[in-house]
Amino acid sequence: MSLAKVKKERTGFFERYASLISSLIAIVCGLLVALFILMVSKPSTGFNGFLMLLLGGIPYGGVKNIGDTMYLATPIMMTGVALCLAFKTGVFNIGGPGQYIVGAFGAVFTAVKFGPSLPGPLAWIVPLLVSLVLGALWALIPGLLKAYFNVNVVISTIMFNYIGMYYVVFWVKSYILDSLRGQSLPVPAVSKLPKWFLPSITNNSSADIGFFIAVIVCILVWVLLEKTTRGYEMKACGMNANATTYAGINSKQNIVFAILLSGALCGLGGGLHYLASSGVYISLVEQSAAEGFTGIAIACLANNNPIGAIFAALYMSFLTVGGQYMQLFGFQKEIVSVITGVIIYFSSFVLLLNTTIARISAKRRLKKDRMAAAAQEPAEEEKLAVETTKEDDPVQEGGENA
Amino acid sequence: MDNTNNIIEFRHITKTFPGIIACNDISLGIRKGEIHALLGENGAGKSTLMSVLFGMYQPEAGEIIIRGKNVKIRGPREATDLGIGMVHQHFQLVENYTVLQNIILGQESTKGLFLDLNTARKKVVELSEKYGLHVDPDALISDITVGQQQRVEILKMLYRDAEILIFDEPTAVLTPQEIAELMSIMKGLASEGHTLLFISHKLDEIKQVADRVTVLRRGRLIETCDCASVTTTEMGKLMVGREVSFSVEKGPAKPTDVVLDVENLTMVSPETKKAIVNHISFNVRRGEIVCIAGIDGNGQSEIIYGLTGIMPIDEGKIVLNGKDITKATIRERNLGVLGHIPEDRHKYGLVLDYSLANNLALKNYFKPGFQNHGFLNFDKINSYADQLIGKYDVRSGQGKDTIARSMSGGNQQKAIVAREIDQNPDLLIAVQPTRGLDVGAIENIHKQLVAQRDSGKGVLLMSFELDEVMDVSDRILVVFEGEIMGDLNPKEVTVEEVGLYMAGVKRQEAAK
Repeated sequence: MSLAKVKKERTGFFERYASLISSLIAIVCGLLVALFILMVSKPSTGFNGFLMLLLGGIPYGGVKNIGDTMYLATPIMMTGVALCLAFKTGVFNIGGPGQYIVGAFGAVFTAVKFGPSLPGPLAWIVPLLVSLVLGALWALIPGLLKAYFNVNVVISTIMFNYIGMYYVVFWVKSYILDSLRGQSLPVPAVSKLPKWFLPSITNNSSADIGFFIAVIVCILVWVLLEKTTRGYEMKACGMNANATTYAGINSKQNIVFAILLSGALCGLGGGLHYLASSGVYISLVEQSAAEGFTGIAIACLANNNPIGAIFAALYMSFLTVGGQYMQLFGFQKEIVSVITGVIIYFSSFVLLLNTTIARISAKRRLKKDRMAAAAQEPAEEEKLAVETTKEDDPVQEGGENA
Repeated sequence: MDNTNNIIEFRHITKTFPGIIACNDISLGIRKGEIHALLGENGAGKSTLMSVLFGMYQPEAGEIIIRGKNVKIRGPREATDLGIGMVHQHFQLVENYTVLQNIILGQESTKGLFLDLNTARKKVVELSEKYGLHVDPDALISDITVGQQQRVEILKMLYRDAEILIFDEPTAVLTPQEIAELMSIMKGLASEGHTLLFISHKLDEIKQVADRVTVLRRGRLIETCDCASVTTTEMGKLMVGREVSFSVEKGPAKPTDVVLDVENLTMVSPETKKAIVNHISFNVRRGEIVCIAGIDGNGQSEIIYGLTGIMPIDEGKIVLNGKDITKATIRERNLGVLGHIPEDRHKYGLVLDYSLANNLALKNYFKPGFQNHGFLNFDKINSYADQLIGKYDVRSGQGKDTIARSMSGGNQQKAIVAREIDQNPDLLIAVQPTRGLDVGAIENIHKQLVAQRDSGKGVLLMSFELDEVMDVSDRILVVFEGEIMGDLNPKEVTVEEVGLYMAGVKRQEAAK
């Protein structure tokens, strides 16, 4: 009957928060290695530089840095949550950069061409919707290929990254080129995202409402995945498409939907970034959009939890902002990228840590149980002995079961 | 207990997994040169105990003594060094390597930088002749039968000079002839001084081949006895802890209306363009259990896929409850109302990484009550799960929150059966519903099938186990190469006769 006792086992603190704890450990490990690198490269100012990184440059920049953190977090939060969704539903969408930049182009193009003629807030809402649709379209073909011909999503989406990147350069040159500066035409003021009260409380930082849109999207994605029938289907399809087919769920439709939605969110990320009030332009460099790949690290650090993506993105951008201030201590700009790279690298250990923590805590619990049992044992030993003999009588136990 | 003869001694072994004590204070001595069977239901702890011996798990308490020495086995490598070998239930072979390459893998003898295959080949050939393990050393694993693959696994152990051989349910994948051969191989090994540990829940085999048998139940050692002195019935009783009936108790069938009518069903293989299912027609009536029998690979699985909608059919008509469902989607069929216990519970039956509650809701989550405007009603899903768990006695570590993957095979199957039967389907299709299960669970599932029949539903059973076919069904359809060879009454035919139909030797005129 000891089985029945164990059955009612509560899950321990460590087990319940395993994914959060492992994310935190990954962060700490990454930071320690970063500190090591800094100390080695410039022992005299290394520690102060590290402190600046940790404090996000706030001692120098003040609240403005908080606003800038929000501003930088917006696009990577979007690509991050897009990838959380993709990974949770089993589609390995590595096409973030392509979907992101195509979405960005859609937003800028619409804003430049039609923004001034659109009334009120529609001047920025419509371009954002276009970025959403274009991002989805860019994921559509890999999605269909996957659903109907089982083409590897990783490969097809990577290919679409290149196609997207070159097309956007081509389109910018053809339609919205600012030939003087060699970049896209500026987004008209009416189409820029409103800043509301943000400049007044963050000392004229670059923050705008894009941040709130991204946070709301993250929450919506979480609700979709965890609370709705559609989310139930999408996750099940990602885990075992055969079983969902068997259960009468349209697996193909769910796969296509998941990748479309993931692409749409990446595209919206591009839209939010390039419509930012601070004024961002699509330059004519032939380079994948880094935000697309950063999204993978965010998803990893967040353990594919859409709510986690909010904090992971904030953390990454906080480091970036802090890193800029490290130049005050004589560090090159590049070392900052190395440091953030190291931290991102460690975030990929989250999964490993996650399983390790689960195992360790399970062991600890067992030990505790055994000790508790041992403490009670002397008193119960005799009783137990009687019980055991009883249990050995097969017929009697059969009676119990029935 | 006379300890001097014991090659292995387990002393107070305890191994726990979250929520379950897999081995609870087990003490057991294994004599040198015996075939020792471990008998128990699914999840009784036999495999865990053997995995502890093979170093795959570390016990929380207890010690293992091998040849009089207290040892700590930290991994399969150390186990191999101690002369312990294991044939796993799922073979660990490299498909595109030859037999010889597989055998020497990890123990390659070399000359300088190069593989010395000749010495290895000589040793392998010697071993295979000595023990009657006939297999072509140069054949690719992918080209040989499952029975031969198993011999490769045995040769692998012997090549590593294993003296203690663990067989984890070795007969589950074999044909009756192959089983007989394996039994004689095992006896040969034992007479050469090897010690064999044999995990099984098939009582006849144990009785036939083992010297002693140890019965485990729910992680506890119940009894060790000489096989010669116990009957299979007694063993069964020890194993499940109560009387088990091996024959299925059921009254005569009272078939009424036709619930499933299949006409001219044809399915063509997309690769070979050969008809896998060749113009077959049959029906299932309410109140009867119809069984599709046959040797694996004669189109049975495809018939089921066609009926359930998992695979498209090329020709023919399927009528369920008077409604043509030939072109209906899987969901329409499910709601129409067809229950399906699939052949492969891991591939089709469960989303292994979902909780038990989510799995039990797999065919309900979209129904009103389980969802509201697209939002899942978790209270309902959870209470429904608790209800099914109680009603069908599904056991697991953490109840409805248990991840399906961590449940034992028998309980996974129980969960599927619970889900399908609870839909109250007019036609229940059960494909190999008892595969890999122990007698207790088999009895339970057979009872459920008969209950389903007696409540006026149709049951279509597909099974490779002839005993099951004969015991459970009211009508047997034997298929051979995609055609129905006969529509037989199990009360009027013998097992041998059914075998002839299965082999395509005999055919009923009417069935053409």
